[in-house]
Amino acid sequence: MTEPTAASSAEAGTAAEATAAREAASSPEATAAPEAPDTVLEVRDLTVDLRGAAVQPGLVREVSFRVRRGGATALIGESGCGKTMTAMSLLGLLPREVRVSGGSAVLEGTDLLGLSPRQLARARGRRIGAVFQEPMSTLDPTMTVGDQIGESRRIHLRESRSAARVRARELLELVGIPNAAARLRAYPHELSGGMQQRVGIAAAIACDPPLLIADEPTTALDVTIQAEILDLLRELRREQDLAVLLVTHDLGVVADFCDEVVVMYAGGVAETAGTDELFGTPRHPYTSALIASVPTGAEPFSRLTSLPGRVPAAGSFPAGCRFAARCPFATDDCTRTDVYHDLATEPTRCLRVVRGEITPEAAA
Amino acid sequence: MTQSQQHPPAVAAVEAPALVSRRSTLRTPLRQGTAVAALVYLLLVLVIAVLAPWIAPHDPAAQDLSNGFAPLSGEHLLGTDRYGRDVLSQILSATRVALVSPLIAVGIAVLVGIPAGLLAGMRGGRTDSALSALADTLLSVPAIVFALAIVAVLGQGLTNAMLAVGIVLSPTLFRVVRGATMVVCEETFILSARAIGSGSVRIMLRNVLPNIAAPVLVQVTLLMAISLLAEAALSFLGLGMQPPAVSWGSMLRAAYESQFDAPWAVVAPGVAIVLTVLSFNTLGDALRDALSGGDSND
Amino acid sequence: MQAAFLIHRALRGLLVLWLVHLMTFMLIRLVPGDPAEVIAGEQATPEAVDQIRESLGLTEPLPVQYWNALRGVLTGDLGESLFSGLAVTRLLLDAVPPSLSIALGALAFAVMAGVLLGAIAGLTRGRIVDRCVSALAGLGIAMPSFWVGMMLVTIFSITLNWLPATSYAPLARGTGEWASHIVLPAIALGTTVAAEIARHTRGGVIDVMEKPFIRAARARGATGAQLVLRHVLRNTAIPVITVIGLSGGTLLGGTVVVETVFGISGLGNLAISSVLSRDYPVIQGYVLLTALIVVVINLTVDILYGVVNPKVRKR
Repeated sequence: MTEPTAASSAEAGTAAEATAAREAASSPEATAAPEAPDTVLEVRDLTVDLRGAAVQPGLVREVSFRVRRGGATALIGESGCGKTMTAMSLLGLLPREVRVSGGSAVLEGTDLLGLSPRQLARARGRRIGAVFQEPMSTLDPTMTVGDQIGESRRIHLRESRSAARVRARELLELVGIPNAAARLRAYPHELSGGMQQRVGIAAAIACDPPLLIADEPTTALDVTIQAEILDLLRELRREQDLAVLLVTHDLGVVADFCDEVVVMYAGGVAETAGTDELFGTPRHPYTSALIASVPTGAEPFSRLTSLPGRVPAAGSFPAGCRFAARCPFATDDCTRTDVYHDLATEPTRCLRVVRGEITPEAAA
Repeated sequence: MTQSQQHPPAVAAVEAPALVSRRSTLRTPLRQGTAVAALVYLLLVLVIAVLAPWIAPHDPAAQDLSNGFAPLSGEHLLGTDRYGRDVLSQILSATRVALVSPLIAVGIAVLVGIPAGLLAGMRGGRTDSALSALADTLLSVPAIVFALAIVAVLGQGLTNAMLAVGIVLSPTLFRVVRGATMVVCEETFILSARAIGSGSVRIMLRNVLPNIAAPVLVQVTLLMAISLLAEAALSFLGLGMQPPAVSWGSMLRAAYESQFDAPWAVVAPGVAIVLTVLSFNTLGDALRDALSGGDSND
Repeated sequence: MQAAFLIHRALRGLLVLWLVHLMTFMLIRLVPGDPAEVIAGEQATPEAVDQIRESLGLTEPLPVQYWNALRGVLTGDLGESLFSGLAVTRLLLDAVPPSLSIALGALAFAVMAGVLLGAIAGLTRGRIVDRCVSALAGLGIAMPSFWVGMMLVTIFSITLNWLPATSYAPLARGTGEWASHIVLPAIALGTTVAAEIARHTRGGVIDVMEKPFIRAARARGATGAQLVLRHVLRNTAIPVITVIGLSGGTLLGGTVVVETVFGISGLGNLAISSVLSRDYPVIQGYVLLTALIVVVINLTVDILYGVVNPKVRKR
């Protein structure tokens, strides 16, 4: 394993395994894969690659996590770490030039990654809802609020326009928009940013999906509005048993809202943990650097000031541990050894933590 | 290990939250190819225009009434017209008109549009309002309609027709120059030129003109295409090139008048016009892409 | 709909019309030498020149001439043809139906073909279909409309004998008869505009497809026709309507040559014969009428914006 060639062949091996795992997961007997009773979504070894490239960059590599019913799991990391791509691969909304090349994502017994594009389209809106960052630009400016909220019911449940509108009104009330009947006929630009995001959420949960993917849902909003939107999502978790997969770069939001955290770095998972554990005893040097870089109560971090260097660009990820170049604890071994072991047994990718050589709190 | 090599640069953009917009890498070389083809074609037209009297197989004006409407043959590759004149030779010799007449029109548009645009862009205020209102008015009536009105006053004939076209096209150039000048004048180096005491004329020549050259060049190329189309239309209507001289447009007029006797005569002059217009347009678009950083989706 | 905005646009339209009128008025008075002599031609007798001078009112001082002209326009009196002696207003109005028929036919053809092809190209961006449509659009813009018309006549009238090659049939002679005379001129006239619309629709569709709300709609399960009709085309309509509005002038100007090709006695034909015979009052009237139509089209486009774009409607 100390030779470069050995390392790359080991990677090839794991990639082949991932493909095999994906095939197994999409076969009928595997759809009832072992799954904790309250788990809504179980993602295992999700890998996203560039279509048709001879040498794969591993844009997203062997990402595993789960989301519990009524729970919230965060995908956190700096921009470019693959968190949005991970979320979009669950929706089947990846850009044309990339594709899922391995892994499974079992949503209530169905492997989303094994579905045909048509089946996946049927799942979108019905079994997974999604809200995005810029509420203004994610609402169609030419369509009334009511029609947009009702759209997924008309598509999936074949409801009439008037039936969908009745439900849309209830949904508007559910997401806390006053004067719902009048608002149904409003256009997106007539609403404030916070209202727009509430409408976005109402449209996403119109068919009562068990899972909501929220991609930076509060980033574009004022701090007070942010808190209101998080409160709304918390309420939906509690009352509708909605599970939320939250994509964010904001540790404050994570601490406030999520019960499990997946820390991503350069396309891979650095560590997964419960929120309390993560902040209490981080098990990856990157995590502790992240936490250290957030001055209490200040703006969410944009770059790691406490660490030299930059996140490697997608496509130029180094072998071995992708964080090694910036890690104060890195040894030669870190760049040579494959770190892609099963996360279920050791929920951190840091070799030295696994080996008990270091405890990352020291970095903080 | 090997992962760090051989990745297309597109990968870096892949993480963008929106669906990735890859500037189509396939089309760029294709476009360059068509631009080169257009340039080569136009150079060929130029060479033909210069050498026409020597390379034309026949005297384009030589009549042979006994051999009118001759079909395509080895002797007359594109047949003959009503008076037995060789169509190929006519097309070749008319390339001069096809290049010179747009040059007249574009020359007028340049002489009128650029100074007016510079004036409006640098002076601003009332000068700008008045000139812009004039331009808007000219543009509010279809170009050919105004050209007709001007031809009615000046009288028929190719030169007058192209003069009219030039006047009608100058507001387009005016707008381009005015817009570009305003942008340039906003920029700090003009302010600093003012600060060191440069006069208006000096600023215009030294700072503004070089900076508006690119958009003007693009526009001029596109106006060449429009002018050629206008020449063809006016000559077809009998207001431009007067017989017995020929242009591609007036050849189409002749073809129109004998359409039931010799329907094929319509094809060749039309193809010549289309190819030339297409080449100017292609070249103009390519120039625009090249000069503005190639950010265009068509 | 914001009334203030529309009133502002209408006033601007009136200003343009006034300036156009002023220009046409000045045009013949700018002729070097005596306009009456120019109009009458070189071989005219002094009496004929005098008569023209009289009938154009050129004997009066310039401000009086202008006042008379302006008053005439406001009361719908555009003077008489120097040739036939008929009222210009009458001549123009008689020529409107054929021109309007082919212009509207051309518009219908251009919008249908342009939006369809442009949308297909935009949705298949970068693929073979897109390249073909884009090449076709480039060709469409480079082709003179009268040449397209002559090619159509050669193919469909002379060779196949499917459709009539010349003349216009009023609606009174039956819709089928009318339509059969309109089809070829409309296609000839509409080709360039169809190509323009296709280009802009393609660009618009590509822009809209990259908007976040399209991804959001797809995340709600919208696919295929639902996505294209409900979200993509509706949002593409805004820039495309601008192009359609601008093409009004192109179509109107294009009737000049297309009417000649198909031997249709519409506005364009009237304009050509007036230019050839230097019938200035008719030419002036023609330019003014054209400007009026363009102004009306622009106002219509402003109103349409409100219908399509809610942001304009309620602000």
